Amino acid sequence: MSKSDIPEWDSVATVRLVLSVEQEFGIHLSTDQVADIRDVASLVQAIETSIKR
Amino acid sequence: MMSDNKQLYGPRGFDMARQLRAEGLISEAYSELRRVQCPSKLAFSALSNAAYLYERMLAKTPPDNNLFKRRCRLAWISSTTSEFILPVLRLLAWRDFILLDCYAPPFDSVDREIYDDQSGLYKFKPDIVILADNWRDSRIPAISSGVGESVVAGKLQQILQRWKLLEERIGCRVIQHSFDFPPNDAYGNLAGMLSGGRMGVLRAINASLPKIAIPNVTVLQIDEIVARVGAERWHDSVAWFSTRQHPGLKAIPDLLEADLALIRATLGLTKKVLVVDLDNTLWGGVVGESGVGGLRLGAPDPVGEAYSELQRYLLELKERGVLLAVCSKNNEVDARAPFENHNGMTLKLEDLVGFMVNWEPKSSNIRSLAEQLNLGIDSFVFLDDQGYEREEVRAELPGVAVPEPDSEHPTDLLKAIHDGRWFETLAFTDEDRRRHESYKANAERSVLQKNSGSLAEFLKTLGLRVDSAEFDESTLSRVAQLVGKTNQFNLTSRRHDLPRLLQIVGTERSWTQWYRVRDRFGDYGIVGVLIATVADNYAKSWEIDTWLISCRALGRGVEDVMFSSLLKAAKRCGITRLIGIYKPSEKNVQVADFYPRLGFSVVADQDNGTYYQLDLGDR
Repeated sequence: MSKSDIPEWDSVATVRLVLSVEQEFGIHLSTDQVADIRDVASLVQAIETSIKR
Repeated sequence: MMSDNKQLYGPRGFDMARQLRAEGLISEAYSELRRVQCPSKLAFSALSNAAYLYERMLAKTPPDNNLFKRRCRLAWISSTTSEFILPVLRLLAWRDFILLDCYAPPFDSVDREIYDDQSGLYKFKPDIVILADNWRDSRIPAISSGVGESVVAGKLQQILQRWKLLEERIGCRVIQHSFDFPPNDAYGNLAGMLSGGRMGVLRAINASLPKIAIPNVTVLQIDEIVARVGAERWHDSVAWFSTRQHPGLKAIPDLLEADLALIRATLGLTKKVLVVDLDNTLWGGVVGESGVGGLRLGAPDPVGEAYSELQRYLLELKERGVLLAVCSKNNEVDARAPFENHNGMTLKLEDLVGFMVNWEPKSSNIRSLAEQLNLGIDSFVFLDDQGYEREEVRAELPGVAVPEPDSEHPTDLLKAIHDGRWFETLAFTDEDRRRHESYKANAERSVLQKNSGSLAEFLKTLGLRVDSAEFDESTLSRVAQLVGKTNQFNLTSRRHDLPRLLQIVGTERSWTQWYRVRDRFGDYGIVGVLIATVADNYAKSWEIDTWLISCRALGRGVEDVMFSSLLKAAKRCGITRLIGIYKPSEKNVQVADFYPRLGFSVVADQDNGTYYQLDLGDR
């Protein structure tokens, strides 16, 4: 599932998503990590990287 | 217990509402959404989810229209995105029974929207415009060559021009955000030291905004909000670079609470009375058990000092015009003792307009206090350290604001009451200064009334004196306040704001009058307003646009004095017919038969009210 498959998935949706994820996992994603989120896989990867840090 | 409450005010509101809606319990779902209180404690994501749910519900199954106390058209003008902000603002407004219709201009078109009289903004015709400027929009360079003063003056000129355009074209209320400061300035400390440094310039602009504000403008003190939420939450680079959202998402709830308080003030929904509990709210401990000597109150005990601080805050509220009352489950003798014998008490019995000490439910005490003071239930805020009491009042009296503290500690109680911003007003008038005295005097009057045989006799002993005159600069803000918030004795409930009132005063086709009332117990200040305008179809008749009397001056015969002055003025102006309108509202039933009582006869019963007329030829 990627941004191009879902018309409602715009940058605002990404930021809302990031906020929920940060809240849930107690992490903080940086601007470049957020910019790289294109699909669910890249979101999961950003979360994993931040948790390991 | 505490964590339960957190749940109640955390995500539960959203999950519950969603579940209720799925079960088809729409009005229950709406009530649940209203419980989203003290949002600064909620994660923005929870608040925003609730807001999106509210939007979907509004679109599909809007609530009954008369659940809303006010409707308001609001334009949010900002160079940043409004997609995160407006849904949350609308949800918070629902908590306060306001239906907000919102407008935001297309991205990056602030100046065009304000200057072009054909823009979407002017087509939308907002009641309130929020100018949410920030340091980036100010376009102030890091260092201005020459003197900073000229940069400041130029910027102020530009802002003033915007305000004037908005006033001329739509006569709306403007809420101007003052400027925040960049989170990183290459000049460091010099940014504030040099006369042309950006920080110094922005500070100077902020300091001047209230001074140059025209009557329809209120300046929201953004620096105070930034300090409160912290610069780190305010400046959120992810939100800014990814979506052009400023301030940071986590700062939005606090910012919107502050904007909403000013919106409530504009719409006349400011709260008037704060009802507080005693044990573990005004002082530490239970006076009925430990006696006055065992209470924690005042120095040197740190907890005792925290309670003193809370009392100091309440006393300041009283001085700015908020009425204070006590509601406590106690024996009256015990409850009075600290006020009389504890030297740590900042509040005195005479600072209170009500002392409801008994074992009845607190909701019924608040209800009878409202009757005594002649105020609506929704003028009340209730502060209590006990979750049970707060829930009881919320369940019985949904109109009462009941702040939810983080804990029962005095510092959190104080924070809860302050963060709600319930008592924000747009001006500080003589009436605010005198409100407490005036309500106290009212209590004495009711004693006199009880002891007088008839109403006539009572009025005679009262020694009523009434002054009146046309609206002028010195009285206009008080008149606007009354027009904005008087509910009960108000025939048309037309909520003209200050700019509109200025327009009315400016025409020859209108007659305006304020009434100031005094009696042997004191000065009520300006409590009555009459506005008559020449009717469109018949130049010799006046339509009574507004006739209102503040609730604290009711039952004194003030309306008779107003009527005779209206008749005199009408004669003087050659008016032969008066047209009265009664427009029913939720609260003005008591004046439903007011015009017939004065001898007017019904001419038309329309959707927008009942029309009456009185021919003056034969009087």
